[in-house]
Amino acid sequence: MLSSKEKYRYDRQIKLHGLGLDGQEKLKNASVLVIGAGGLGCPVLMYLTGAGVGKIGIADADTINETNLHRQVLFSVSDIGNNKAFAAKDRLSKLNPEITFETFPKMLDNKLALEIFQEYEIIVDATDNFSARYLINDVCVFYNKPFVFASLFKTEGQLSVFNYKNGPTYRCLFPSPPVSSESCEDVGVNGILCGIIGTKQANEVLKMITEMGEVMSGKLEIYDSLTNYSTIVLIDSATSVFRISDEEILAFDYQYFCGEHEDRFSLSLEEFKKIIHSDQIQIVDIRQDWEEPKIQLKSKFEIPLQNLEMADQKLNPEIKTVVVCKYGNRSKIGAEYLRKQKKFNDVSFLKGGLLEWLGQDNF
Amino acid sequence: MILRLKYFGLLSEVTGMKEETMNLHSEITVEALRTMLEKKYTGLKTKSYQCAVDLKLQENDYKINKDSEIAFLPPFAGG
Repeated sequence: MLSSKEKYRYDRQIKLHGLGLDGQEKLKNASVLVIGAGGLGCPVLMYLTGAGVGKIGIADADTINETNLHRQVLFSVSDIGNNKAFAAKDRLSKLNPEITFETFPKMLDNKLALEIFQEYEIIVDATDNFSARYLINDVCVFYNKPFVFASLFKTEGQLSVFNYKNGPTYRCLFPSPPVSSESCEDVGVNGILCGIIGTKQANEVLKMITEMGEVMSGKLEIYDSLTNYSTIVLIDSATSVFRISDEEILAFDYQYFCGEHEDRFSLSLEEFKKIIHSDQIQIVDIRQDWEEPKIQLKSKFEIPLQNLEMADQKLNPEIKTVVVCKYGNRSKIGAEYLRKQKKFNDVSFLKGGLLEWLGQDNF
Repeated sequence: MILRLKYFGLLSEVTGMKEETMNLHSEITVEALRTMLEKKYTGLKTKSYQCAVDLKLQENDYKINKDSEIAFLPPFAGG
């Protein structure tokens, strides 16, 4: 039942033909879990909160960084360094104190997904990597829950609603992930595109709950922010929809499946700073000879990537080794090489690279 | 028959364009069209993408036999 306070707050949408008090009641009783409180997640969360979805789950392990603020407009400067799920709940509670928020400030792994998806009617995929997307798909198919998918690439976005009333799933569209490709380019994104596509996701959730309009099930929209043009493609369910049990999901290595397995050998900047002055460590700078600035650390070795096969002449495979480069991408390859080919015992790479550590001004 | 080819996501970076027109003299399967384009743009060989013919996703064995619009759709990861 809606209180008179609620009828007043939501008056402008209750008046809408097709929504009404009925629709508002449905929103109040609905539960939506948003995976990712970043570029897509921020607008999704803002509008679902505004619309009065009764229970909203927010899952994100990341902390807020200044480089997020051009597109993750839910946050402020004072939130920098805080966990996104917590900061989102804080801010959203001020927009709408009537909503029940649940926060999951940790990485969505197989176990957590199986635990928490059960408690929600609709899942929103606002993640930024393939392994999470396949995990979300498989858990939603297992629990027979629909999910609102969106993804971005620079100035283009994709949107669809999967597993909705026997509609196609993410795997029906993309049965397998692309081969992971290495690039030294820092891939940028149109921040405003995040707002456009994330808001479309919120709109799909609204339609699903209130049963207004036509849900984007069986359809994939590709939106181009440079032309404002949308291409909508029809998709069918696969002849045999990919479906696995909860045990199989628990045993499935999504990161390996998506070629992201080397990511687990990354070291965050905080972790890196803690160990760099240790005696029992090797910092391997695999940049080319001409690359500047040179790093000033006592345990550092400069071995360009292509010369790593001679690494065992200079380095000790038994002690902790951290590979570095400018962005972090080449060092991931270098670390993999040392681990697999040279059998180094404990080797990782600096995520974000020397650029994160030393700052843009030093390059 | 005239095919209007549209490249999305990073495929437009591989081909250097967002769209182009191709004139073919006989029908062609989606698979054969992929092979033809991969010869023209070798970067496509390592990319993963689906094909939609006239705004409907089709499998590799689908035969294109009239003027059509073909969209090449790679998955996006970002969010």
